Amino acid sequence: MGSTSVVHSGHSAHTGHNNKVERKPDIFGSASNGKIGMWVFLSTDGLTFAGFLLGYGILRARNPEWPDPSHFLGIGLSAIATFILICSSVTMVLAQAAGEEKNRKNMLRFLALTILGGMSFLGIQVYEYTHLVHEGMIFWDFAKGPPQFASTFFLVTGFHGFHVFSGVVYLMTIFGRALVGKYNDGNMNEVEIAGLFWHFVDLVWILVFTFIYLI
Amino acid sequence: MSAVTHSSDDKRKTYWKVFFILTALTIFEVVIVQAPLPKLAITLLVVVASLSKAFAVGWIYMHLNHETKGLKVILLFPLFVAFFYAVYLIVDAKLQIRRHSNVYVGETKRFWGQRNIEDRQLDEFGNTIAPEAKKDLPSGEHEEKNEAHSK
Repeated sequence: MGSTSVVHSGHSAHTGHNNKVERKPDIFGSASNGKIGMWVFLSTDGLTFAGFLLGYGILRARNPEWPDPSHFLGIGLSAIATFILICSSVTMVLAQAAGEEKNRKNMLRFLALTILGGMSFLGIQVYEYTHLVHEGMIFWDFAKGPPQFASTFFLVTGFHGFHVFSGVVYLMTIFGRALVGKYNDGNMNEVEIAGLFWHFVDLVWILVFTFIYLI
Repeated sequence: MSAVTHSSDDKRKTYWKVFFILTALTIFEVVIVQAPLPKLAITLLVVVASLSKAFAVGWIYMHLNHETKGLKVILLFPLFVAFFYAVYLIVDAKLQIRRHSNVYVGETKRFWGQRNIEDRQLDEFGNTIAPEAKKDLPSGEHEEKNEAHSK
């Protein structure tokens, strides 16, 4: 395609290091195969979330008895959780930037902070769920309003929480590989792909926080 | 990827700038939902704020600005379609229930096991009168405010 001039030959050899197949620059420019794969996965995953949020929106729009979420959900706590995810996103890009400069110590530090952020988020979510279950809100029933309110809430936040959990495991793997020196040469392709997943989790939470908690 | 034109200090500065914008917009959202504004205005403001936040994360943190046009189109086109599809269906559901609330809520109740909607009273336009307007609630627990029909 027409975008081949974007790529410098030296750069392409550099990013192609971790790929078994060396691709000629095409419509995707110099993006590695793994990165394109992760992007396509994230796009379809985004559509899954879109489907859940769409179902939520329709159930809510058709139900005049739908309660105001702020009466039952703790907005302050989830705002803190949002902030933690934003922080862990910025530490993720900083880890990548440090790795590109071959600053191993900072890369490991920022990766550890990112993992810590993800774990704190999961902790907050466990606390929140426990609290809600004690208030009579479970997946298939809700003591104080329409049961769809509880079901859609647990479906969307639970699916997202599963993503956070997977992301933490994924980042731990990356951290382990960084620890044994796999990324000492400054080739951050794998870290960048993991970062894509992690930022996507943050991006989705930004939307979930608005649509489920605030509106 | 090909951010070789930027020095890494510039990159860091951009990352922190985005971080502060994200934080500021989050605080803005949390504050604005408690503001004494019409529900529709609050909803629109919050949706615009959150979509801008999502865009900032995708564009800067996920380095979408460094990808080729082809990849951007492939990734974003289905999401745009999904977004407009969702807006259409949700607004449609909202309008239908405004026009025919007695019919639709009746169906909803039978189909989904909806409760608390017996004894509903309709005004002259066929809209449900909010529960707190009725003083003879069977049990005192259902005090939650219902803003679905405040216009």
